[in-house]
Amino acid sequence: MGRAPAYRSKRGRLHKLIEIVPHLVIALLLLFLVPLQPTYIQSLATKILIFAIFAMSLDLLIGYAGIMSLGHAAFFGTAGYAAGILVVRYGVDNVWLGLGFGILLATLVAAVFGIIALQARGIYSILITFALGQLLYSFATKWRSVTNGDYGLWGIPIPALGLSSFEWNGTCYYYFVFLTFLVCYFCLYRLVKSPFGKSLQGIREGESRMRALGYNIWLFKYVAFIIAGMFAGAAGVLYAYHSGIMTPGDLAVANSGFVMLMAIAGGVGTIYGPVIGAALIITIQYYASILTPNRWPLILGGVFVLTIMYARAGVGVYFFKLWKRVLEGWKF
Amino acid sequence: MPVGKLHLNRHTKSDLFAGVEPLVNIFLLNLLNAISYGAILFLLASGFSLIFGVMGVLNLSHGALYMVGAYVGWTIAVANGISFWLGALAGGLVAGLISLVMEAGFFRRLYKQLNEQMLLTFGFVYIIDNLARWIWGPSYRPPFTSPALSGSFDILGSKYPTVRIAIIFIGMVIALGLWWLQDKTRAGAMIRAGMDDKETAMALGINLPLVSTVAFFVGSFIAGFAGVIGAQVMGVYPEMSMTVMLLVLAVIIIGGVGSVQGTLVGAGILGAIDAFGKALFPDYAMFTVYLAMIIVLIIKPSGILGRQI
Amino acid sequence: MEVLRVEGVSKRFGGVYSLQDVSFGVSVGERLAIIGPNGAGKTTLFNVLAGQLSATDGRVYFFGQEITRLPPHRRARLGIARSFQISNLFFNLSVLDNTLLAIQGRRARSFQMFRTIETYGDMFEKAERLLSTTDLWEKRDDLVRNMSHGEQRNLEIILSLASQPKVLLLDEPTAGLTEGESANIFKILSGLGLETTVLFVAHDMDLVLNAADRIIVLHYGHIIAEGTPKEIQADPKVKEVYMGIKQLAYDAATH
Repeated sequence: MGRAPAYRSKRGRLHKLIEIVPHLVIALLLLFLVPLQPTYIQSLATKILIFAIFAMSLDLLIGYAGIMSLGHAAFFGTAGYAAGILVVRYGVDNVWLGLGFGILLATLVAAVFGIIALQARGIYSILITFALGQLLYSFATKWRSVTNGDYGLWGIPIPALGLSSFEWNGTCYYYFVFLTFLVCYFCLYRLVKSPFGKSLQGIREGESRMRALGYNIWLFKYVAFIIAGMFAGAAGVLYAYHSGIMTPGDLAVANSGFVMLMAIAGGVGTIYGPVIGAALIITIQYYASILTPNRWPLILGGVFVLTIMYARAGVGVYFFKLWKRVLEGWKF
Repeated sequence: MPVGKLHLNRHTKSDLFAGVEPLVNIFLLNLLNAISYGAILFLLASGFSLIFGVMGVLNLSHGALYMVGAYVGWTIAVANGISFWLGALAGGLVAGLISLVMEAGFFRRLYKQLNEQMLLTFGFVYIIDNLARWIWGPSYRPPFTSPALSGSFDILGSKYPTVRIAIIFIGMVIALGLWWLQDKTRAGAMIRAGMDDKETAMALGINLPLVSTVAFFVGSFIAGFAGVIGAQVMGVYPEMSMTVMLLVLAVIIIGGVGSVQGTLVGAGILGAIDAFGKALFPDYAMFTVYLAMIIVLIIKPSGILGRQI
Repeated sequence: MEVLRVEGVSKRFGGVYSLQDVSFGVSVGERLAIIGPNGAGKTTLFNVLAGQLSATDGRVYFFGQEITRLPPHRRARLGIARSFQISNLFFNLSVLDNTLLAIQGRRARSFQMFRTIETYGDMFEKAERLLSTTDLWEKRDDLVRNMSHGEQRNLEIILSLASQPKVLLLDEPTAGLTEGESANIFKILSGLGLETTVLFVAHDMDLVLNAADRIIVLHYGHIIAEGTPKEIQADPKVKEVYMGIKQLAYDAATH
């Protein structure tokens, strides 16, 4: 009994080209162009890629499962602290163990939070995610023996890679983060095109119909929550090593809002959108904070408001559609 | 100023230990703290609840409006030495005006897109916060009040600040006013109808867009007004908007949205937790607040008096 | 063998009873029509049967197994499918995506995370079979919100058929459709075998009289008549409920 052949989309090769070319171009830029830039640009790029992973994970919730979460930084921060504590307080000098431990902890937290947050509907669910995030934030402030409280857990080095006579530097870490980003991007890309991903979209578009079709909505949302927490955790660990310090603020609603800004400005419901959003927001924040050290939140807020009003689908989506139109017009 | 800490007990603590006080006195004084704190929370949260109930929008910039009101009040009452009450009124008006700008310039163009409107308010927080910092600077403004209210009452042998009594009184008056509005007037009935079923309300001839705008204005006015009232014990500082917003959400989570009674319950419980929490476990006060929220969320997700969604 | 058994089902909303003490059974392969004036409780009955609403009183049995408290997705997994009176489609997704969601609904496959959906060619073949009965297969990549009302109603029915249900609840399948479009629906229904039991709510008396084996008439939440199309046509109670004022006026005028 042979398996039925895979489905070939009507849209054919042109559509594949439309999708692949920008990915290729950006990947090449990131691979070859960035390492040639001065250190501060490399550092910026590293930060962008880290937040890109963070924002993509949030998009899984907002743009695919239809869960609006105001506490997503809880997973990010937990993983970051976990990785930091492992290397600073326990001297475990292994970057893979750090990543593993951080992601594991973030996933556990997501598993617990998910059960509580998905109890309620609508606005109350949103409020719960916020409350849980802030709970973790106050944990981090109070549990001084472990987290060093408001001073932050500082002096976090990048643990050893495991290769003899290898020393970390900015460029090496950039490549490490880039590779991790590629893995995450690929995984999430496949995830949203899988039956599971399609199911999430269905839930976002019409819960009652999905129920009538036999889907256990709660279970899908819960699994999505955990997966999102997992990827946010990966971003958190990378961030801890990159910035060298974890503060309670990294867990707080302000950070959750910051990453939500990126996801929405870039375009939710796509995987590339949040990546563009992260690049946009972090670049604006960086240069604005240099130009006007005190007024950059104003600019950020303004950009956000403008995006919601005039480019609701997201800047990333807007550019993609533009690119699509250019290519379609050019071919015929 | 560390985020999340409200220095409300500055006056009372020194008075408490100025001698041998029976436990009952301590309890009563903390109770008064709880009620006065709860009164401020009630003022804050009732505006938010009203806006959410009528418009369906989670106005995340509500805390920022509170802060702006406080700053405006400070400008009028302290920087220019004019009447405190005028400052309170002005604070409310400015906050209300900002809400009108939000509504007319932005919300109206995103008709019925509630998620987008909520996200907009989030962007407004960045903007309002930063503008306030620009205008008034980053430093802390200590508590201020009308000369008539400074000083203290003698309660059971210890001195209790008059301002707190005044706050309790104002809170009660407004609570009564809102309750009367909600249950006893036609306007209140229209608002409740709009909260329940927008389509039917409009079909009955209720001008819902107008009701929404008015509700938004009133809710924001109360926030700004409350900012000045609360400044009598809290002072004013830039990080306030976020701190205060979190408190509002805590009240809503505990008490439920949509009714004056629910907000009262939420504010009361939160006030009690904070006052007694600070007295019993001073280090973990904020923590107990979040814990209370989680507990309520697990047992009754829509809040103690909240409407089942 | 009875597929469905409804016993003493009542549904109350506040002070209003939408359904009162409704009892009936449905045999395997039967085509049962539920008719009645607007507000009689027909959609409420479907909601109680499919699980969107829970009965205030009474019980529902599926092949002898009680399902009264079962949530909708569990009933769907047992084999109860429904279509909605107001098209409940995924408007921002394509026709094909809608259909695929319906096909994979009851299966564990919907949790698969590691392969793209295109690799499951069998689902696409099934989608093609389902959609080719209309011209929706040609329009499979178009968004549902750009479809005409008739096409949406077609898709609505197709979605409920996709899982090969044992019981199909069709809520006003031909509402708002032209003659031709209604005929198409009728064709789809006739094509269903006896392994599918069909209950349908309709106002279109042609459809009801032609397609139904048995008819139940609801009025203000009560069953006022039950029987074959012939029996129902002759029933004076039914006439009264449907004719109502017209009949009284006629009698008054002719006496």
